[in-house]
Amino acid sequence: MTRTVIVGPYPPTADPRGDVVLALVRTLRAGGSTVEVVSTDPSAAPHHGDPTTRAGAIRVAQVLRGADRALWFADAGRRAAPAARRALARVPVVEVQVSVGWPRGATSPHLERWRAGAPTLARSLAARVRVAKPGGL
Amino acid sequence: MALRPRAGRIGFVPVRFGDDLVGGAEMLVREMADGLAERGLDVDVLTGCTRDHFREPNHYPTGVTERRSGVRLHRFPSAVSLHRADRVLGNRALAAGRTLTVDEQFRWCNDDVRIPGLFDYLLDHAHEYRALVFAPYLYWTTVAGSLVAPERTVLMPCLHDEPTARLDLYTRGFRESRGLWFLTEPEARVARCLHPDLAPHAVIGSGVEVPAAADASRFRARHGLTGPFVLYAGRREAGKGTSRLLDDFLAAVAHASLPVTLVLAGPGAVAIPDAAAGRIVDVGVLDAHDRDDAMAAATAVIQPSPYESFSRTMMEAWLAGAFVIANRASEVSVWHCERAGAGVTYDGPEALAAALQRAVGPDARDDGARGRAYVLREYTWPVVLDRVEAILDVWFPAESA
Repeated sequence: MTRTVIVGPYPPTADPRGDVVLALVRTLRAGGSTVEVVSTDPSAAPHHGDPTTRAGAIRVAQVLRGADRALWFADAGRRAAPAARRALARVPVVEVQVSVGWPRGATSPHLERWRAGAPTLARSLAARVRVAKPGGL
Repeated sequence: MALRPRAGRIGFVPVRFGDDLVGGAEMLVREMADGLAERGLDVDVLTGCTRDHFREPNHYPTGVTERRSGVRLHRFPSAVSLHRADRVLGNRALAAGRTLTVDEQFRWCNDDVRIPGLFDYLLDHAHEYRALVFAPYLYWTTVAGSLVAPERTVLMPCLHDEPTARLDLYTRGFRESRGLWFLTEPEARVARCLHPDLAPHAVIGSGVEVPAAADASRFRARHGLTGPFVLYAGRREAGKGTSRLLDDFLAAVAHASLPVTLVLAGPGAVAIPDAAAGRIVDVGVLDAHDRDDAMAAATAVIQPSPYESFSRTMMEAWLAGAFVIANRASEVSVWHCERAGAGVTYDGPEALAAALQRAVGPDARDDGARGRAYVLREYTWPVVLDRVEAILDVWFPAESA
């Protein structure tokens, strides 16, 4: 069985990408994958760690060990710390989804649009993770 | 009552669960789940292992057990952060009347007891449940769990108008759940005011057990109480209005020269002023029998809390035929008194003195009898569970009943 690790925001969170990750987890689980989430902050995920910090990167690296696929929801301009970079480089299939930062001053209509689009974006990401070629960061 | 098998499993999701837990929401979930199971419904309780919010996150063992009622109890490991800095700072800000940013709100929420295994279980199994009932609104289990299958979610918020009720992080649960169950109409009014686009909702109330028998003289003898006394039974903490009660009571009895004692029962520390020794008696935590005896023995039972979503204490007092005195700041308490045609409310020492004078007067027992009739009409478990089953049938029609 394929083991996928997702690094990114996860519910409950104010970050609307959490809805995308949740929809992605549902899609992958429904497709028979084992999915583990490492959220940046404490959440409903069993692990948390910010890959851009030294301690968080070590935690992320531990969970990435043995993964077949990884998907990292990264913030633009924030680079993974070395331990996370090395661990990601060892995963056969890696997709990095870079955001310029979610709209922290977002109004409710903004968030509604994010949430409405989350399942579609998640399906698209799931398909890309399945076909992505191994690559570096 | 004959068992009436129903199709479809009902899941209750509290943050903590145990026969030894004291708290309105905890008792409500426990008794409602057991009551529905005893009526033949297929009921699960999905919860963590914590006993309180601050210590021993894994007090109870994980796993699945079956309760005497037939309820299956699933316990998942609870997790708490070590430092709880976001929680502490958030609580301080809220207590000081400051608002939290949306980010801070979610960090505050995630820095409380979390149950990630329960969340994963819901992801895989929510579709197997006819309805998932989350209570109360305040905790992580409700905020996170209600996101998984909102179309199957019933939120039983146990809400009152407090600073946390205004936090944005709760909006989705109130707006996107299949429905909400309120305990009183004032609670529903607060929710409609805070969330104008509130999901469909119904006032179901809360059940209370009717005590088989109570022995007033046993309680008086055990604690050496001879004269009239007013009883406070509940947690002793600032939010329940306990410290304000002591001040108001001492001022009231001095104002009216009343020979009344205040008896405090329940968990939590309370600082009784030296000058009040003899006028205020602390009897500590009482078990259910002793509490019923105390209610029967009391000249009056006082509910000083300004924040109530139901007030089980008032119902227990009325069932014992006691005269009830309640804080007028609680809309719920006022609502009960008006509907019952019983009890009085107070908003300071003078009004409390007048209430105490009525409590020792000749009409107090008639007042208590009206209160008892109100509880028997509205809030016994059979009455409440009939309402619950009726609304379940409307919101979640069973495939075969």
